[in-house]
Amino acid sequence: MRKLQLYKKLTCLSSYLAIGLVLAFCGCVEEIELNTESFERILVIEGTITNEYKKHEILLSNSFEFEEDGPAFESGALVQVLVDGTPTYTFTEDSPGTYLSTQAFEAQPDIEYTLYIQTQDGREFSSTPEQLTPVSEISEVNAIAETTGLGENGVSIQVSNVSPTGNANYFRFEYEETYKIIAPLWRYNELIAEDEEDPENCNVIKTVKQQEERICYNTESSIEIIVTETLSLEQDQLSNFEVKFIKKDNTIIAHRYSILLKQFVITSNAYNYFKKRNELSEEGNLFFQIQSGFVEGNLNSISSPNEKVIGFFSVSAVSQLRYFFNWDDLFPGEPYPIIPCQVSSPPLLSRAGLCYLSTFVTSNRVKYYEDNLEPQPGEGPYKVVRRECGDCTASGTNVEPDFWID
Amino acid sequence: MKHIILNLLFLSISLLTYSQESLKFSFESVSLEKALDEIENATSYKFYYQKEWVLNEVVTGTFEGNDINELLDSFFSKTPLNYTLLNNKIILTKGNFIFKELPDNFFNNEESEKPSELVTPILQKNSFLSDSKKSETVVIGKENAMMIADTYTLSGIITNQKTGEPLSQSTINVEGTSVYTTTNQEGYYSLSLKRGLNTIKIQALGMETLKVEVLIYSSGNLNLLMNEGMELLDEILLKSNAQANVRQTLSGISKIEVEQIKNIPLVLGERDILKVATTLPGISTAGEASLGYNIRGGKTDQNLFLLDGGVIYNPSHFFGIFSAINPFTTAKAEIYKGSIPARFGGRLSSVIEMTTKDASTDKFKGEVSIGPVTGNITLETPLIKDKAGLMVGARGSYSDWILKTLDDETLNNTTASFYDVIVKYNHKINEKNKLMMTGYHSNDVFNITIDSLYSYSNSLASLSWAHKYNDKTNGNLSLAYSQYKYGIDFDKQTTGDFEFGFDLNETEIKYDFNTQINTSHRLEMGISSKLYSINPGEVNPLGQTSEIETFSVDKEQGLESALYISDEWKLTEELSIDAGLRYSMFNLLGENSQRTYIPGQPLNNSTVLDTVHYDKNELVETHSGLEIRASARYLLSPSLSLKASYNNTLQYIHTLSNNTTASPLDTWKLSDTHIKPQRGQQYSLGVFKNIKNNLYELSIEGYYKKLNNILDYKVGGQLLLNEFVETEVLQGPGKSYGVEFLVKKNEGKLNGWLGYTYSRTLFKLASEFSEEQVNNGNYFPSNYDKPHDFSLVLNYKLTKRYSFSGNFVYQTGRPVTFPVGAFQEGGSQYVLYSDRNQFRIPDFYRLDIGFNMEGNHKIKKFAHSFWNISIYNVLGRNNPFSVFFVTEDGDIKAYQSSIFSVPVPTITYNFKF
Repeated sequence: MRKLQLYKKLTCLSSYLAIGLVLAFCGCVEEIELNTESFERILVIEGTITNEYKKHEILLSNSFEFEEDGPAFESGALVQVLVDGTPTYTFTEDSPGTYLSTQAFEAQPDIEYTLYIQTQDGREFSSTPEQLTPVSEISEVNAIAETTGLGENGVSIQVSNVSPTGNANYFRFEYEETYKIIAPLWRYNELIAEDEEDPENCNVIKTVKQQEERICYNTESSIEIIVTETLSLEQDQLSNFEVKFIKKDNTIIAHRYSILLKQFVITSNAYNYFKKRNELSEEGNLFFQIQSGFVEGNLNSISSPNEKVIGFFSVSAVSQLRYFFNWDDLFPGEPYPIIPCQVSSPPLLSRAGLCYLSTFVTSNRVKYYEDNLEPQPGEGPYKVVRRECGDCTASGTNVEPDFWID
Repeated sequence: MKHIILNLLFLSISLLTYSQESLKFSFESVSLEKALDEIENATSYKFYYQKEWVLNEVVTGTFEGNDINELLDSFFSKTPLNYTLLNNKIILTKGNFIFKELPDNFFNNEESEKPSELVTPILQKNSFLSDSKKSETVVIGKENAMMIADTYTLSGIITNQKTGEPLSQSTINVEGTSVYTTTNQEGYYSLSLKRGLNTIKIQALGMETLKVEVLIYSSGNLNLLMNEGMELLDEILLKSNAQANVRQTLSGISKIEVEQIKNIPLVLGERDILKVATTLPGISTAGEASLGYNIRGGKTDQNLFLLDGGVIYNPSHFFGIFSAINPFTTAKAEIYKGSIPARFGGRLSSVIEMTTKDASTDKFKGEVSIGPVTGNITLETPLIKDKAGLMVGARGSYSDWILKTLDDETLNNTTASFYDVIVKYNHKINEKNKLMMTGYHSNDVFNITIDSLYSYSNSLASLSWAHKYNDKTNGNLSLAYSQYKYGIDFDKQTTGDFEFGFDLNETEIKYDFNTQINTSHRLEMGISSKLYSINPGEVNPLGQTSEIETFSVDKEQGLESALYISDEWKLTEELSIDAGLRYSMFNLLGENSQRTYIPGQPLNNSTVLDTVHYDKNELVETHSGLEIRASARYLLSPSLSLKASYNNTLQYIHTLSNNTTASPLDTWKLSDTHIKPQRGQQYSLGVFKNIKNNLYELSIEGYYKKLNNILDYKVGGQLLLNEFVETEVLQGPGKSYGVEFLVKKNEGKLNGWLGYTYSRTLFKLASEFSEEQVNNGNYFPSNYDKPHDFSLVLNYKLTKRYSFSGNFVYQTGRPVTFPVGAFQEGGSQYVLYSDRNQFRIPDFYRLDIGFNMEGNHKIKKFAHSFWNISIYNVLGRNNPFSVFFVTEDGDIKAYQSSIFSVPVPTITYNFKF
């Protein structure tokens, strides 16, 4: 991996160099308006069938113009998985663009699975036949306090695996991270408007909190592409491969952090596909441009062979492992990162005589901190903080997840 | 004017007339005119001459004896004058012919039916005929009724009268006919003439045109001396051998003389031979600051840059803003873009042969130039009078100093500098042997961020020994070494500090031999072998604390050998053919490891079958091929010709570059078991026409190229430090075609040229595997496919000393791959790219103007000065150099960069002594 990092550093370096050079030569770099030059609506297919017994999911969306906010999901399509050429599993639309298999199943080895899609407007697509990849198990997940080559401190989350057959060489990782949130300026009390219905009543009153707002949990799924391979290593197994690096000042590791790491064994074609996707999303630069282009996956249009389609259909062996760590495990005795919190005392009425504090209270933007015993001119009777500082539900749920172990 | 003798007609002349007078004279710095007067007064001899011939001649010496010839010899041997003694009349002439073989009694030919003009045998060296309108008649042989053939052969050697150097590539043609020849490397020519009176015209680069009337009665020998062109402010910006464009058998050749390009406005005042080349049809670059040249649809790695026989891999400074060729030490550049002679090989598209000037062997000389970015000094000194000379040229930038003075803090701390040094030694050992040595080094250093130091350099050493076996046969043995390397030092005082290096070395030994078999065949043959050694990339820790591990890609070693033979064959005066064969072979040698892949599968890390290791110098792989180089010329009239050529070429070394433009970070790679040699074939057809006695040159040439195994890259693709580059490389066919149109006006107040090219270059990467396929396997335009390319270069001479010049360039914008939208996959948004090179950046155009001032031409002045004031990009056109896309905070942003978006004024001062 050092090699790859170095390469990135080299190209990155070169871009600075080049930009500097251009400045030196009174040239200029200017932003130009990005218009969609000639837009083609291309179907994007995301689908992985695994060896887990469950209802599998296929996502269909369309490419979109830069002027649009996000993808338009493809609804009303016929989605099938063919087993050895025979339509076997049908997927039905659960929510727009999300198709779930009508029955739960698990992928079996030595069987060819093909994804077949027919859109509402009659376009047909299919994948190349794919077989279940060899099995590999995550043997260990570790979190280590580390300093990167660029001098950043943080936590490196690393994975090791074992592949019984030795044939599993390409891996893609997804993760789900869950972390404990403790509201730093949590108080037993909170403020409510005396009468929300009456616009004339600007009073707020102090009362006891009705719900858990001190300790919460938040869960996020990975969106980045993490792929690696073992062929360039001496052994056909990963040993301490870094899947994620969390900077030390990130508050998600301030208390207790858990990661559920999911490993998909993929084919070399899938690996190349995702690797290229990653490379192309990196920064372009002046003199050292990466050859950009369209990345073909393993899906093709049946109806018109020149029609492009994006995506990769995988049949993967999956392994997953959950790992927990505390701040103190890694940085004992060191202060943990805290979100910035400021205390203020907004008046009950604004200068124009309108309700002031109560509007913040009803819109749930501030939390009670303490009474303002000696209010200065223009201050209200209570000291408050922004919601995140006194209420953890601002950034998570107060329900402890089932898997959580303290 | 005392006595005037011009073109006296004599039917018979007796040469052997002596007067036995006693002669005794002593002169001490007396003008020749006075001396002649004195002799006239003291003797019965009378001199007949034009006064201006003797104006600056001075006589010193004592003479005692009775042979007037001896006296006259001592007088005139060092002047451009000849004498003829007729009884007591001494006729002086100013001529330029040396007769080696004059038949006896040839003036006593009673049977001569045609009156012949006065003939003076000229027995001295300094003779010239500078005005081509005047002519004198030379008689060769004697008319003999018994031996009448229709044609006779005239042969001889043409020499530069000043330096004594033979003039190669001079053209000799017979006026009013299409009879034509050129001299070989040693200045030798041979020409068929019709019996009787012929006017031959001799033209050579930088020489004054010579016209000679030849009355030929038998085959004979005529050696000629030519005088250097005297004009200082040259009207001719760019001239091929006058007539050569029409008459040369090869087509698609451009010749650029450095002396003649100084008026052309160029960026930051640097006189630049390669930049001028890009104004000619068929030669372009990807952008203003881009390394590499695209010649007739060729990739940037397909050009062979030769400097005195050694290869220069990266002839650029400052990312290509300047070329690394010192303009003061370079004599000329010849660009072979069409017919490539069989003696060259190893690159697909072109050969750019640059020749350094010979150092002066008679006096100390120098030239200095001061521009806004660089300073340049060239000195020449004789080491052995008239035999050996040394030239040293050095050029360096003071841009570091400029960067320091800038307000911008980042730029203050940066370094950007370059220099190049060239040393040339030439030694004429004797008439038959000549030795030349050239050493060259160029270096660029950049440090734009404080923690990285970036450098690249070219080094070259060449040695050549030219041997003349006889007047018709020459050999040349040469040895050349060149190196290209670059490195990056990353020093941020962290554990990640490293140094990265790449280097390429090649050593070639070559023997070339040529012989003029007879008037219609000239044979060239040779053998060469070149050893490559490449270190594709190495990373080492920098400093004590660095935790970077040493990593290197295996070295590559290869041997490229070739054997060639070619014949320039004149079938008739109208039709000539230059046909050559070249057999080249490439051996990849160990120590090396090569992977084998599962047959019928794409090459990637998952289809590896095995890795084979080869020991040191073990043969890994051999590639070879026969290359045909053929061209033909047919003269439709003396000034109109039709030329056709066919060429095929092979290339065993390739650059790896996934950038749209060449960069100094590109590495070179030898062909191996997976990467096949690139192959190219070119067909061309052209019509060449000269109008008004070469005042205008017109040409139109069309070509079609078929390419194979052209290197391209997969999307993404990591090439640097990749041990298995074959997994990222694609090879496929390509095609290129175009029409090139050029009009040149060579002389006059207004001169210059206009070039227009329409060309296309398309590649195709098709495969049954999607990862090895681009644009669905259809032909797509190359990165440098710019259909329309127009250049206009003009020079207007106000007076002898002042001139205006300007050039205008227009090009279609080059193709790029554009984002055409976005899509979401796995929760992230990505840019959706178009097909490769589906779109184009905006068109490029630029106007530059310049004003040139020549110092006055007083002879006694110490130095000759030259001022050039120029404005580059007068219109301030913001020509896009590249367009790139950055994801900033989840948004995709597009940026356009340009290099010189504002007019750049420059003043340069040159002086010569």
